[in-house]
Amino acid sequence: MTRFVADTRRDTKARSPRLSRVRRSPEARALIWLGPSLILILGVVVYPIVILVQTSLDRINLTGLDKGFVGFANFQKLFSQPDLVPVLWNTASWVAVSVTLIMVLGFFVAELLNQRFPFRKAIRLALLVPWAASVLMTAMGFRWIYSFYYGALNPVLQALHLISSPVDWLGTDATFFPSLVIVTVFVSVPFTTYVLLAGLQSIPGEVLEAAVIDGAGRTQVARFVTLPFLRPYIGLAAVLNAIWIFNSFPLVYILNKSNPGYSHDVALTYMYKLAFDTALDMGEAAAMSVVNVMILTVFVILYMRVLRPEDAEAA
Amino acid sequence: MRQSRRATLLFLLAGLVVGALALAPYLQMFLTAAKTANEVQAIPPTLLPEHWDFSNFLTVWTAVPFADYLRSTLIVASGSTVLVLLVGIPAAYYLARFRFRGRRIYLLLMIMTQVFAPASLVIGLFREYIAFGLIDSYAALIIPDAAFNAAFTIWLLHGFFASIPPSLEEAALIDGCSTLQALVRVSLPLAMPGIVTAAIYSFIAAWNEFVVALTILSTEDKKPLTVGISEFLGQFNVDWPHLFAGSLIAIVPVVILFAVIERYLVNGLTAGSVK
Amino acid sequence: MRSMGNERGAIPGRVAAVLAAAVLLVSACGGSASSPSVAASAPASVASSAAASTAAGGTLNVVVADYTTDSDNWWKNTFVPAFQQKTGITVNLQVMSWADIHQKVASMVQTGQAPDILNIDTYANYAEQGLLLPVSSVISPATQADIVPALLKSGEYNGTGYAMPIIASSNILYYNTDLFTKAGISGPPTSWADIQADAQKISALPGGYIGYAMQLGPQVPQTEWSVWQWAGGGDYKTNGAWSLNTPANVATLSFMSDLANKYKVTEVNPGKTNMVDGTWPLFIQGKAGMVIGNPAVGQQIATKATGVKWAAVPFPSMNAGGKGVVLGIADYIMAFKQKTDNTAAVKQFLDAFYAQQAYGEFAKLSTLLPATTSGAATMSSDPNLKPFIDALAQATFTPAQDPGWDKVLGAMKTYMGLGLQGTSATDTLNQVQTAIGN
Repeated sequence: MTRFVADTRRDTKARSPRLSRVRRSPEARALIWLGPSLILILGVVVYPIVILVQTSLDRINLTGLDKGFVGFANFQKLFSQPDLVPVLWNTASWVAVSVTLIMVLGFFVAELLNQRFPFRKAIRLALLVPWAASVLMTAMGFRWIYSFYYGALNPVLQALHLISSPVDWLGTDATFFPSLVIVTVFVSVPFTTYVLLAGLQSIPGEVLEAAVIDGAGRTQVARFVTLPFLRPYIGLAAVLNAIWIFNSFPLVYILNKSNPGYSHDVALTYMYKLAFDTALDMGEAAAMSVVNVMILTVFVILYMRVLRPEDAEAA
Repeated sequence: MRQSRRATLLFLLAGLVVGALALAPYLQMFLTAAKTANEVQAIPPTLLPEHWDFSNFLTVWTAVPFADYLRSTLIVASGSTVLVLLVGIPAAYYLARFRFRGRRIYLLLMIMTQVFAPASLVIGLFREYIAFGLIDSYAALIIPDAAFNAAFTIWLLHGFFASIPPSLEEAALIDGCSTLQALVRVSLPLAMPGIVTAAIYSFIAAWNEFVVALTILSTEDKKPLTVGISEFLGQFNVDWPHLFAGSLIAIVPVVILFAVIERYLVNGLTAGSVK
Repeated sequence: MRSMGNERGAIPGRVAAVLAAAVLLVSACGGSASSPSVAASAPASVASSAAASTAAGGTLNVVVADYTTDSDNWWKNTFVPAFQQKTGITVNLQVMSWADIHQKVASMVQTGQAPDILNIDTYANYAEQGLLLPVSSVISPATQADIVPALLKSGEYNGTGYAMPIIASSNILYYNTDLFTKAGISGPPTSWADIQADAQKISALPGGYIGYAMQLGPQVPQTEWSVWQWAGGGDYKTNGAWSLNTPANVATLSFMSDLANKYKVTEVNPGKTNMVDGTWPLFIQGKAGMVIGNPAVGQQIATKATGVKWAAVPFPSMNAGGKGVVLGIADYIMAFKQKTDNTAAVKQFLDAFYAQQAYGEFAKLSTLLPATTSGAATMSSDPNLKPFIDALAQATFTPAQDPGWDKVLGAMKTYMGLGLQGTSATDTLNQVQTAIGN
């Protein structure tokens, strides 16, 4: 074994200078270095989109066989579903309300953790738990906590006299959405806090001190010093959170598991149910997926505009 | 800036509330896992277990094929971590060192992997796998896990490589090393913290992946932890103590790993956009 | 072929779902009887079986489904070795898990390598393609006569039997006898009016009891719905067409909705409640007066020692005096036609399997109910199983063998629960019917 390794090393050393000097165009070299990642991304991200589009234009029978081209029939069927508009509205309000709350709460927690006080490090670490833990398992924990008969939430709220009788949090139409938003916020605030904290810590101490010496009050410091420094971090966290929440299938899948109908579904769970759970119509589900891909394309554009990664590259 | 003792106390109090809220659901999971199957269904529920019963953390290994789930998760998470490093390191290095035409398109593709999660493409993946005969295989999970973590890995490592002065490698090149050798001998060791971070992050992401596994896998002993545990909530007698015992066993290692890379996490997620 | 979705969706094998509850429970509570002791007693059981003919070898490929570790080991270590020794027939046995048995068998069949004998939960697609040997040619008349007629009939396709029930289960009405006594109710309900009155009395008891635990949530709404539907005079199909929105069914769903919303004798939101994590625990913990369930409920009461005293009867028909309703569930064993005639060996195998002692062992290890009269006679000594075994004789089966059933199931999972949550019975069933139609 050892001998073999030693031999190889000597061998490569001997021949490498020549090999590395072979003339290639920069693009050809780029292809060698970037090729493997390109193949991976094309195969797993781009090609499935192609298949989705193709599937959405075909009729797929119950056993998954492709029965050929049907034009836009799947889209017509999808767009005639009375559930589609509520599902899209649920999705939009879920993402918008959650992101707003996440940014506000994340900002306060980040400000807090930017102060000096005992156990600060321990609290930072506690925040890692909801971030690191699988969203699926966290969602199941909340499902249990929300449970009408067995959950801890009802007795606690009753003991605090906040509610007079138990509430079926996930089964009542009026309380489902707030309950979902709470879990969404819970799992997203840690990441947001970390990003905003990085932003806060990027503000040079002298700048803050200068502002205070100049007689700026707390709100003025926040408005004229902190916010401008924080703006790129806020943009990043908001966009990444929005993308992440839209894609956060397990949250709704688990919390909505006992509810019939589609009235609490979001874009991804609706698509999934159409394909695998209830309607068993791959064609229509693929059409819904294409709708989802178009929504995500908007996110790609947003990402590019807000974050301008190539500018950073150039810097 | 100095702050008063009162302010410190106030911050501490607020901090403790934040920490307690962050841990509360997991504490509740722990308390449930320590109850007997009977007590857990008591109405009204008990707050603390009447009889602390930690045996659920042991019996979960036999009540369900938990060891199989864990093995599958380890195979998939390790496999995708190796794969993402194999494709990510050269890509990140090249992006940090060279200019080329098509760079913008490549970056666009990277962003797409960050925006398009497996959940939104799962039907496409599902049909692709059927066509390629990959249904119900580990490869069917390893490949997308690696692909969707590629962006994080490449962004993060790109930052590390960019911060290593090219002059160090030039010395190696003059000594007769190839670009690849210069990378392996000079830059890789220097970028090791980034590589460890990328590896751990990919590992955790794959560890927690759910929707592809739910759709692609059907064989019981190939199922990863996420799918196996989610099925407690399905056709079985719903066994909350075991469900949460299993969940906590699955959560603890990733939290520890996350704590290890804590200081680099934000770099990877914000690199390429916030400087 | 069952679709991927259904396999994962809820129930890989109909009976498997039932046993899954039982398996988890048994193994969670400190180990079940392991195979060695069974293996020791094995040769005797087969030796004494009816398969006494002396065949001249041959080979059988046998695929069986995984019910419990114990039943798997029984096939591998007990039955097959003894059968091989006795007959000289070589048996290639494969035990497959429910997770992939459909996929694997489908590919075996498609590549012309169908097993000689197969144990699974679906047969109609194979019967339709003419791949199966009729029951009458693969088991002796005596064995055939021993199988419970209602179960045997459930294995028919176009009037000919192609699949033999290998194992069964039944869903009937559990009631909590302590609560019934406390509420001054003398016996089980015999009509829907009784159900309503009894449920009201139990709900009125102090202590927050639930009169009737009902579930049309999206997990297994078909269990509750099938029983009510048949008891109300409706059926899934009428003259060969799906008929979910018939007037009889509308009346049934309205009645159920009234129990939930008008008389409020059910648990909260029954249209959003599932069975195993919803209605069953309520009954097992003694909180509910009545619930529909299979033997697993009684088994859980015993293992969790919740002290609930119960009895179980077929679900009462709408009007007093009608026949009680039982939802039967069966898995099947079937024989595939082969290029060379294998019927003699198949017949030996199946007759040996269905022989009283061998089959009794298998049924017991599977933790499900026996499909034969002789097996039933042995297992009826268990008072917890007796009502369910007796009920099998009058069991009705869902059209689960129909290729359109998955779609019907999907439509019911999506919409049925809404009928208890404020949507009218007519609208709900029309939605179900529409969803099936397209």
